[in-house]
Amino acid sequence: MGFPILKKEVLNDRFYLLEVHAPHVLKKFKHGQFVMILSKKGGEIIPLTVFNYDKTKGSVTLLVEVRGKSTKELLVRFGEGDELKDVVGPVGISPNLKNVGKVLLVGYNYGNACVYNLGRGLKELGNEIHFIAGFEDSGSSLSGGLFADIAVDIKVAFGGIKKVKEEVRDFVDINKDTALIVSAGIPEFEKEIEEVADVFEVDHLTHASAIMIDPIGLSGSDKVFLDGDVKYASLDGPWFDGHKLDYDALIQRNNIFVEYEKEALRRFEEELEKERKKSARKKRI
Amino acid sequence: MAKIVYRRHDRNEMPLMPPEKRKKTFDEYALGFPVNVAIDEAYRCILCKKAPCIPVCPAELDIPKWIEQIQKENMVEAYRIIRDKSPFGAVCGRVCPQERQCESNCVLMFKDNGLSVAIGALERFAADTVRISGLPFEEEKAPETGKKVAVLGAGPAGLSAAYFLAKRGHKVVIYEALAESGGVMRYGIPPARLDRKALDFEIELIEKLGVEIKTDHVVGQTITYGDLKDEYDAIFIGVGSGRGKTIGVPGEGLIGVYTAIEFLTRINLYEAFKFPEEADTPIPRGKKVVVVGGGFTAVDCLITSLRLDNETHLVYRRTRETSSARDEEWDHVAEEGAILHWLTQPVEIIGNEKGEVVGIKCIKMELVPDEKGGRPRPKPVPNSEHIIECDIVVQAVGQGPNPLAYQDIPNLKIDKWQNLSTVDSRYRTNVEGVFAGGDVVNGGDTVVRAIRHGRDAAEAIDEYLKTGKWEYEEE
Repeated sequence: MGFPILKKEVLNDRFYLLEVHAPHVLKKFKHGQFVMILSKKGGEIIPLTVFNYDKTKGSVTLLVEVRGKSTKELLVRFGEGDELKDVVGPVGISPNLKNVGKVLLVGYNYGNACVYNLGRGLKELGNEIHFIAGFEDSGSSLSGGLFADIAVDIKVAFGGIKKVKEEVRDFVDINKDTALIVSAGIPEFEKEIEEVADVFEVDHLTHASAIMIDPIGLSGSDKVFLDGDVKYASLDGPWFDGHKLDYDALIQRNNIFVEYEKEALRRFEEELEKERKKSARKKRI
Repeated sequence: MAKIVYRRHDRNEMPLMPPEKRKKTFDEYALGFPVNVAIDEAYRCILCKKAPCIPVCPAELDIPKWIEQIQKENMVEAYRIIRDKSPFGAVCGRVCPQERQCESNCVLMFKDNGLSVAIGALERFAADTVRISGLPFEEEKAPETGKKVAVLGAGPAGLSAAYFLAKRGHKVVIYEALAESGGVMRYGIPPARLDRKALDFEIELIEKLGVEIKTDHVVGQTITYGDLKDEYDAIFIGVGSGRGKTIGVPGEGLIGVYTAIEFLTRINLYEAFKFPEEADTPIPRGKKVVVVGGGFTAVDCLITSLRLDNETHLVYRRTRETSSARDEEWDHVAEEGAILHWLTQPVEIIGNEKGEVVGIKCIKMELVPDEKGGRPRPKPVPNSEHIIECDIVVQAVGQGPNPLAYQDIPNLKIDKWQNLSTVDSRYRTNVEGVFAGGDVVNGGDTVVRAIRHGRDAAEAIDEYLKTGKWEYEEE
């Protein structure tokens, strides 16, 4: 008894959308929360923000970035009608949102989906939403239209972290009345945004993508540090005060399994390559 | 009547895989009794009328009654008698510390240094025989009462409560946050000690009674107390006390430091030992690992680490004799190559410039008598600091609470550890209709004790559903 994929839409080489039937997640869902999915037995459980949802259909739409084996496998091996073994959620806490006025959402790659998710909540409260959608390069960047419905203006920026940071600095410099910056992506990126938020003394809410293997902080793998306090991204997060989050510690922890993840992806790509060759041979015959 | 023969000394021992072989596989290393051995062992039991083994079993199984059935080669009946008191005979036969429970008080031990009947091995035998035989195993249940009970947590306490409630005719739905049912029996105890087929079989028997298990449901998030209260006539909280504690020394944030729960969950729940071929969750292999702790969880971490081809050390601040794990288990891991450092206390985890663990600094301890008459206390030996080089530190030093599932229950009395030791003798909390049992009540104990809590709570819940009476006993 799994969770059927209702729709898969490939956006480009790096991103795709997955609409999954998981009505249980939506009964109590609040903006900013996420789900954890496990595609199959023996798979790896991964946290993904709820990019979009449809309460009448009971479906959640996930924006997935191809990062490692699990996300690549989902892209090439799973299609409409297939089932995911597990969809857990909602996980995390929706932060205490208020109408503060002018809000800048800034995402980087997958992080755009996270700020969009939270941004919908901010928009409902009457905030004026501005959106800078950051991407590593032009080839993988997505259309601003994906995120535009909540924002009074949206700018797609690409060319790496520094480039997006410049855009953020320019925005805040011009818009001195910016009350809140919400950022999400990778901690390396969020750390740079914090620099801007700090200089301009703007409140900063940021998203901690920690290694997470259960939805209830059981294992402590999702530990994050805030001004010396230990918190858990699954229980207390994923949104934290950007002025307090220890980005370097998070970067360090996120690197724990990098070598293993590379190895898993390499093996999977080899497997795909073999299959390609095999089917090419068949075609020739 | 025939004269009773006391076979005090010819106890049949559990056959084990040899250490060299077993440390290379996650398959179960205790192989179980063959039929002839089991029957022979069963005949060592003299079937005491007032059996001293029963009161020292936390689940108070009718031990001689089912052993008699094994003598008669009626394994189905033996298993049925076990299940009158516990739905987890196959599990408990494997993981109970029997030498401190039933096997500590066998009549055969009362004279001439006699050896106890191998009760654990026989319990496992009865359950496994029924499973492997494939014979249909039906259990009776009372007619449907129309009452509904929500059980929070599909671990030993919750599953046990669900089983006894379903047998009484109540409809039970279990909510479990993880992707699989079983709780600590799944994510904690390694398959080398508990064959997953045995666990799955006993959970399936519970489901066969009509119990529905909803995995992927985080109580407090997916569904809240408010929803449950409206939909169910009673609630049983059996969410355990599962949050890995840390040792509390500098260096805990370094790369390579794990809680026991993370280390074990990766391997047991997500099958990281099959990485990268058949599983996608990684776990380091071929490293130097130091496990900190002296209980069952520490042993489970050692067993697991050895099988990942790690050089594996244990540090514990007390002695082997004063540890809470079984003597036999220390022997087993030592045979497999674990290096055991007794009377050794970690004081700091040391890292390199990249933030990776490179060693653990420890001091030697000595045991001094406790003035208050408790367990002897460990005391540091001056100038005994030393470093054990390692890449990984696994902290198996106990569990903390995880109140997510019950923190939104209005006015619920929670103790200072955020657990529910506030329940009364019938497992009632101070909130009408809400019961609790297992580790969430006692903070961390054995599987069998959680099973007992579940059973007793089911009885109290049944009574509440029938009478509607709620008399929470204030302390």
